[in-house]
Order: sequence, then structure tokens, then C-alpha cells
Amino acid sequence: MNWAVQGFSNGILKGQARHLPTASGYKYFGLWALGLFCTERHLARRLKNNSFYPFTQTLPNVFVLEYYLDTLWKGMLLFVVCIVLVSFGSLREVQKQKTWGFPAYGVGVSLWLIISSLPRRRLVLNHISGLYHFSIQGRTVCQGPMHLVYVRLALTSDAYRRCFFQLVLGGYKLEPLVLVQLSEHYEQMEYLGRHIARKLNINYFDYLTMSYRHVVRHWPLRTVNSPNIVVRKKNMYKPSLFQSHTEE
Amino acid sequence: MRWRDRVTVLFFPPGMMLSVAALMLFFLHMCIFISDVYNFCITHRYDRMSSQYTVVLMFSQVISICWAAIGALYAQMTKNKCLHCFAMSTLMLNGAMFFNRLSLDFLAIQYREEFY
Repeated sequence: MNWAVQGFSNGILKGQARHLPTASGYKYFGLWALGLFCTERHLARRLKNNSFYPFTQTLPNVFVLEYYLDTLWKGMLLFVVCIVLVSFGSLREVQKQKTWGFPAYGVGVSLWLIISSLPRRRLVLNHISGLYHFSIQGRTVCQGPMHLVYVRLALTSDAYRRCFFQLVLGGYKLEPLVLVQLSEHYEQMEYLGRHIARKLNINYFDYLTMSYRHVVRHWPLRTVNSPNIVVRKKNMYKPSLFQSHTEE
Repeated sequence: MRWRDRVTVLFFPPGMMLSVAALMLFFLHMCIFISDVYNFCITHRYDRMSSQYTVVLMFSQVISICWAAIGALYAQMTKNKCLHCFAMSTLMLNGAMFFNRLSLDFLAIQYREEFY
């Protein structure tokens, strides 16, 4: 899921426009291109403009992200297509079967998509109090400790066993936000993911469940002193794997 | 007010909306089915049956089964027994409605078959 960051909010919230990242003019169309081209380069360019991308820094150690779901424009597109179909009456009857139900369905579904993605989402990472706060249209959905928010790589493979990676910003009760759609370049994606996680000071997880490439900055409260974690890591120890990736 | 809050935030448990939509569609299909059966068996006004809408009806029944299935999957991920029950019963109702519709259509085809 991409998301229509700030393109819409620029029009709506002129008062808060200065909190938004720079170069928001082409961001509106950037949404369309995201899934098609070399997107980690795209992300890198944005990171150059705003090093806390996709968030913006309002106070030191407080990051704010305001966005609309991308189903907004998809729903609008579907709505327009269905309205055009209905108004021209092209799909009303096919071979003595009445088929106006299809565009009617389309209108219903698109209205649902538009209504559900119209409220503005707001995600705040507050490192001062150590909490994240997710709200939709000013109503709190959830608030919790910082270790529940993370950047992670997700793996999908196709029929030829080629691996594609996605960079996802996720968390407990958050809508997963895809930063980079399906890319084959693992190293670049990992670098970008680690960079974003370091800038935002949140956890980073590799696509494997057990991996030495996780960067865990925030632990749940009770597990910090738990001996289990250390023991498990010792059992897993493989020097060759470990030496090649001692980044942080 | 609390309920309205929930609706505006769409804070139903995830997947719940799909089950609710599937249930709505089920009621719609049931109304159409009852009127069909009524016209087929009791009034014998076969032209009032929904045979002109067969394609759309089949499509919407398949869609509602799909939605109910996805809703049931989401419900399985939560630990809530009520949600499980609701989603599974929606799925079963939709499946049962599909087979009812199928059997009624076969009956109608058998009736309309022409012998020379």
C-alpha cells in the first residue's frame, strides 16, 4: 500500500504547510510512479531532501507523519469509471441479461473506499516520552511503547524463485506503510531501511525471523534482563555470518 | 457518541466490515431468492423471476462469499469467540444461499427445457 502523503494535505491544511517536507509539488504525481520504477532511488532522493522521511521533525526527537491512504485515489478512479459507465449506459444490457448491477457495485465499493480513506491519519513518534501515537481524524486509535513500531524488510518470491523485497513501516495496530515496493536489490534496501530506522530511532528487522541483521533499539520492558535472549543468541553464533555484517 | 466515534475511525476489528458487508449482501440475496421461490411455486408468474439478472446475481454471490471468507480469516487471527462465531456463520449462510440459488436455477432450467 502506498500512501498519498501530504499531496492532499497541502491543499487542505495551509496552516501546517511549513511542517511538511520540501518539494511537495511533484510528490502528488510521485504516487503514481512509485510502484513502477527504480524506487529505492526515489526513496534515496527523498531522504536527501528530508532526512527524516517519511516523517517530519517538529521538535527534537518528535516525528510526525500525516497521510491519506492511497485507496483514496483508487476509489475515486473507480467511482469516476463507474459513473461514466452508468451515464453512457454502455453496460446496461448484454445479450438480454441486465448487467447494470456491475457499475452499481463499483459505485458502492468505491464510495466505501473513499469514505474509509478520507480521514487524515496521523502518526507521532515521541521519543521524549517514549511513546508512539496513532490517530485518525484526531481520534486516537492506539498509543503504545516505542518497541512496537519498526521498519522491516518483507520478502516475496515469484514463480522463478526470484526474491523481491519490500520496505515496510509497520507496528501494532498501524496500517503498514510501504516505503519501497518490490525491489531486487537487497543491499540497497537494507541500507535504506537501516538508515531510516537509525534516523527515526526505531527498530529495524530483517526479512528472516532469526537474523544477525536485526537492529533492535527498543526492547519490551521485561525482556531486557531476561537471560533467554542471550542464550538463544549464543546458540545461534556463527562467526562467518557475524563478521561480515558488523555495521552498527 | 462512542459508537459514532468507532464508525468514523473505522475502529471495527479488522475484517469485521467485510463480514458485515457479506451479511448485508446475504440478506439481499435472501430477499431475491424468496421472491423467486414465491413466483416459481405459488403464483407461477415465471416472467417475474430474476432470470434476467442471473449473471449479476452469480457475481454478487461469489463476491459475498469471498468477502465472508476474508472476514473469517481476519476473525481467526483474533482471539475473540464472538467474532469467530459471527464471521463463520456469515460464511456458512452465504455458502448455503449460493447452493440454494444454484438448485433453484437448475429447477427453472429443467422446467423451461423444450422437448420436440
